[in-house]
Amino acid sequence: MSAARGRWRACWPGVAGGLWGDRGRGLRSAFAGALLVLGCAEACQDPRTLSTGWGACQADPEAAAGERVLLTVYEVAAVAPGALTLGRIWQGVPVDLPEGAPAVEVGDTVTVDGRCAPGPRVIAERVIPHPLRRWKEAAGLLGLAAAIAVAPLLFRWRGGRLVSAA
Amino acid sequence: MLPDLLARAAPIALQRLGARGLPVPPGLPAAFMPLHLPYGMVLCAYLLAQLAPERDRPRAFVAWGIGMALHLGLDLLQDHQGVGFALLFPWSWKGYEFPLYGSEDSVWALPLLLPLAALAARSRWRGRAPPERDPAAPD
Repeated sequence: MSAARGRWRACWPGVAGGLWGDRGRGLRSAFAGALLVLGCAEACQDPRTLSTGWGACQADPEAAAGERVLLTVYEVAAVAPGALTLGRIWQGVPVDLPEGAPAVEVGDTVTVDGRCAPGPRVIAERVIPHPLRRWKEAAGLLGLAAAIAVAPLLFRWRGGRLVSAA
Repeated sequence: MLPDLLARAAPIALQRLGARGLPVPPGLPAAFMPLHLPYGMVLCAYLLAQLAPERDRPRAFVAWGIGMALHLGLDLLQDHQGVGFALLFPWSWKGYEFPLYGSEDSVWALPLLLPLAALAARSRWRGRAPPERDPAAPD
């Protein structure tokens, strides 16, 4: 055990240098960037986006009839008696509202949990309004503005490196 | 904030373009999703740490990593109606969440968190060492 620990201690400077050293920094960064791009390319085929929910309902409404469709944080594009049209990742999604659904207006944000029906359309079982969504977005923008304002006071770009201004 | 900036800003812009009639493929906004998952966070923290001076890189990696993990930890406690986050991506698409509060409930905490953040920033600012004075500089 102690021999293994000793060997590890002996090779640690090499491992640390390989991970963090200036030598090969560009190559390591390119490799990490390539892994990131590969992950993003894989996520493009996210089955939750394309083969379930509204994606599947739209592709084959008869086969997907009765399957769950979850439309999270969608914007109301149009309102009609007993029905809505939503848009976000998918545009122009027709939704039939259940009895006693909360009243919403064009521009509101809602989550709809329902089932696929021929048409294709979504028969909503639950409609969850998000009345505070705009406040959350405003708070996020405020935080972003604060971070942008404060970052130059805390960090400097010196000699091609990001260094603390302290 | 960084995970949202990396993973949400571009999809929101793409969705806005889609709403204006531009043909945005439905899978494209999902391409940014790994940047909000452990897989993308570790790689982003590593890439950002490479910007720091050599001796500070491990510390920078840990600092970026802890910040992003804290963000993901809080997001995991939000109710996403059973969708959750694919924590094991790219090996599994299974979503995880531990819903304790709604996605907008954090707005109610703002009146408490904003003054606390201001206090923390003030104390950090006061704790900063004064800039070193050049002895050759005239008084």
